[in-house]
Amino acid sequence: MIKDITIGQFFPGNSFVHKLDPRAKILFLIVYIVALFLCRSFFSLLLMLAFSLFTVILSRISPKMIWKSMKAILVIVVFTAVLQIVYNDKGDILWKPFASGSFAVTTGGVYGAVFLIVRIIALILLTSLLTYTTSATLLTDAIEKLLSPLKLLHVPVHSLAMMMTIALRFIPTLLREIDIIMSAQKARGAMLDNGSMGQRIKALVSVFVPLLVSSFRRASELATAMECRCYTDGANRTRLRVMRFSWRDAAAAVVLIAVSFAAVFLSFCPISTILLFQPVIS
Amino acid sequence: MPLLEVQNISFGYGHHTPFEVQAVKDISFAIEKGECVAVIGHTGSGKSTLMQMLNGLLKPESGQVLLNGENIYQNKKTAAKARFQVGLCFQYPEYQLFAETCAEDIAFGPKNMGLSPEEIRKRVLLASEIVGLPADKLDVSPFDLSGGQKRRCAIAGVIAMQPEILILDEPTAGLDPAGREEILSMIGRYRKDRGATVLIVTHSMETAAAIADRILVMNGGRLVLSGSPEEIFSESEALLEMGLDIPSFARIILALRSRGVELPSAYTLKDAARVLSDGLRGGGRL
Repeated sequence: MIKDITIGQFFPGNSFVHKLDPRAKILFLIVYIVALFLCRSFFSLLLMLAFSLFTVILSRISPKMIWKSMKAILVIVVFTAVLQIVYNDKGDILWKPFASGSFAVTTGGVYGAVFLIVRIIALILLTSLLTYTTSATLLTDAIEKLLSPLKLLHVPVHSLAMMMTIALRFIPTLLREIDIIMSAQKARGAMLDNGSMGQRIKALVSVFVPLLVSSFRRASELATAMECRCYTDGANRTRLRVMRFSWRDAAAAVVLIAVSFAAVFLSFCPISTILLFQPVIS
Repeated sequence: MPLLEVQNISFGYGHHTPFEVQAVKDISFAIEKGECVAVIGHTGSGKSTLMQMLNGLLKPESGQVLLNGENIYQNKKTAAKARFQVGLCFQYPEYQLFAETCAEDIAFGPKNMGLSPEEIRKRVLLASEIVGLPADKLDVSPFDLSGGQKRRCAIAGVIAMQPEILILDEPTAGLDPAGREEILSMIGRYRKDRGATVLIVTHSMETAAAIADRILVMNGGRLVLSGSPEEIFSESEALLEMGLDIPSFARIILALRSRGVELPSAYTLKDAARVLSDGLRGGGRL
């Protein structure tokens, strides 16, 4: 189960998406997210979803892996969708389970829920694709480069980027560690996968204490190892691979901006309202 | 009927991902009561995956595991019960210590078995005696112990469940030679005193030869060799090809024998020294 969580994992590859400049990828993602949240009609949202699916296909990452990353977040998505249905009372009443009281499922609620689900799915698709197709090293380099103007304000950009990489790098490691500790405690009969809710929660102590201890051990070992290699925060360091923007980035930028503009335009232009799908998020 | 019988089990990780690995491929073997068997193989040969399938943690994708003739994966209940009957001690078990005192940590398994407090106390004392953990350490936090003591405390946590088979995954990993020797002689004592069945997973031929009646060699997820230490050692070339090293004293004896020197076999350093000095004293060709 724990192994199904793939956030932060990198899948090496040679696709168009893998070859994009990591700085460009981060900027694209920001543009995409902003456009996604500006979308107010189904049309524009579906356009964004289509664009993200197209990108996923381009990346040649197996759909099964994408689905796995989705599954982990599905609970949250369903939860928010249910909240939307319960609390949104705009539009016509579709179903009123209790004669008394004001609770009712409305068209606005259902629209809102579907809208939310599509939006979150589109969001997760591309954000997870960023770490799937970019190695942690490249990602840090890119973040550092993008934040480098802040150096003028004496922000420790390099250290921040390093911290981010380390955090990303250790997600899979710690997940593996949790898996081993859980197996080991299960071998001693810890009720992690059987027993009542109370027993399960109690058994979790036997997982979290060793995990905490080992995280501190890892952190101190890593710090020692870095010091042994005379690590300092990267002043005047040159890079083996210098990042350069290429035609790919330009092409991707053109497509992304075109799609985003189209989506935002569709949200506010009257055609979409004429065609039944009213803006549902007020 | 063997105590534990493994029939054609297989297991793979990460199906449908770029990281797909078939960790265990079609393995069968049996362990008799009172035997000490060593499974050897280099890193990534599937040893650890195999171990987890023997005690109800990991259901094989095909094949079955029989304990006293009963399939342990019949249902959830039998699989949960198998965890107590087949005690599995993971690699670096000291990383699983969590309780406030050693006694509490050792009692974790027995407590999960639902035993009475008196029985638990008895088992904790017995287990700590078997592993040689000093009684005054029982009320100390396990995080304050030395490395070797932590390891013993963790092994005691598995022994306290009084399993029918004790499986130890690399019990000597990361210990110095003295610590290694202590753990191995502790296992030897445990076997002798209680007639216990033990399965040891290791990558060291030396450890395997020092302690096991029978050795199973794994390579690439398959069981490639099986036999007495003597039989396994005689396949030294195949072992070297698999990236397993046989200890240098054993290599010397094998080389001498292949040149026609009559020598009894020796698989521990002590035996080898005795055999060689006897040979020299006898005024033979050595």
